[in-house]
Amino acid sequence: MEIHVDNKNEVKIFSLKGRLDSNTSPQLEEKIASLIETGARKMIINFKDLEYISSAGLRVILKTTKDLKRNDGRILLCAMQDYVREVFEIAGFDTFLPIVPSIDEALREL
Amino acid sequence: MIMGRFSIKLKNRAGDLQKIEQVLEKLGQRLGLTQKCKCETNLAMEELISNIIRYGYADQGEHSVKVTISHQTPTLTIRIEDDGAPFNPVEVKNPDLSGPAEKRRIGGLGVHLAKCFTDSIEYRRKGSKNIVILKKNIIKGCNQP
Repeated sequence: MEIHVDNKNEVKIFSLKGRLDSNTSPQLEEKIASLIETGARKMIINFKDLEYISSAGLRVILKTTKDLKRNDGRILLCAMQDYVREVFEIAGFDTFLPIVPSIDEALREL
Repeated sequence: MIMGRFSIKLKNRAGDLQKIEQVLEKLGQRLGLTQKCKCETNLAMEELISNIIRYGYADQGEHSVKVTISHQTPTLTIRIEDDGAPFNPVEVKNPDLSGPAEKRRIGGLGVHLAKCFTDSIEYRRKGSKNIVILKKNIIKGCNQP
């Protein structure tokens, strides 16, 4: 998986490419944790080029959501492909995590 | 008629989970499976096999998980055999999917997802082996249009 991080004002935008699974999710977990540690509180995860996710990926997203909430931060998810969106819906994550169609929309909401 | 059969053997290490993607890529080409169908099948397999690797073995030794995928129109049958501790995924209770993020737990979600993305799941214990059989109908919106 490739992880690209952009900064827009105070927002960190993570663009993921490839697969977020048992093998690759620790990379994302470490990257997010180090940014939270250095003060990042607003995050967007861009799923546009993410083809595959498993519960290992969901675990990282849930952990990040909890960590940011504890620190008065916020996370938004955007641009999911059908399969990835279905996984989030089956897991019931769409009930507490905002999922929007594009980065621009996510930036407007944050 | 059986259209294809693929067998792979995974060791009990996380890196071997990549073999699932590789075998599904080959199978997908042969059967013309959509990306979505490959992902759903991959997820069901990854969740069950990663549980075996993570929780199945009390010792530090090397173990094998044998996986066979066969196709007989319209069903994909995936057989997963391991020699780990007895574990019946069919009996895993559905996780609580309500409530705010703070109250959510990730436990049990993997097996729940595996059940949702397949049509049936069977388990039996045979001697010292766990045998799980997943079936997925690949006609139902799963093969190429």
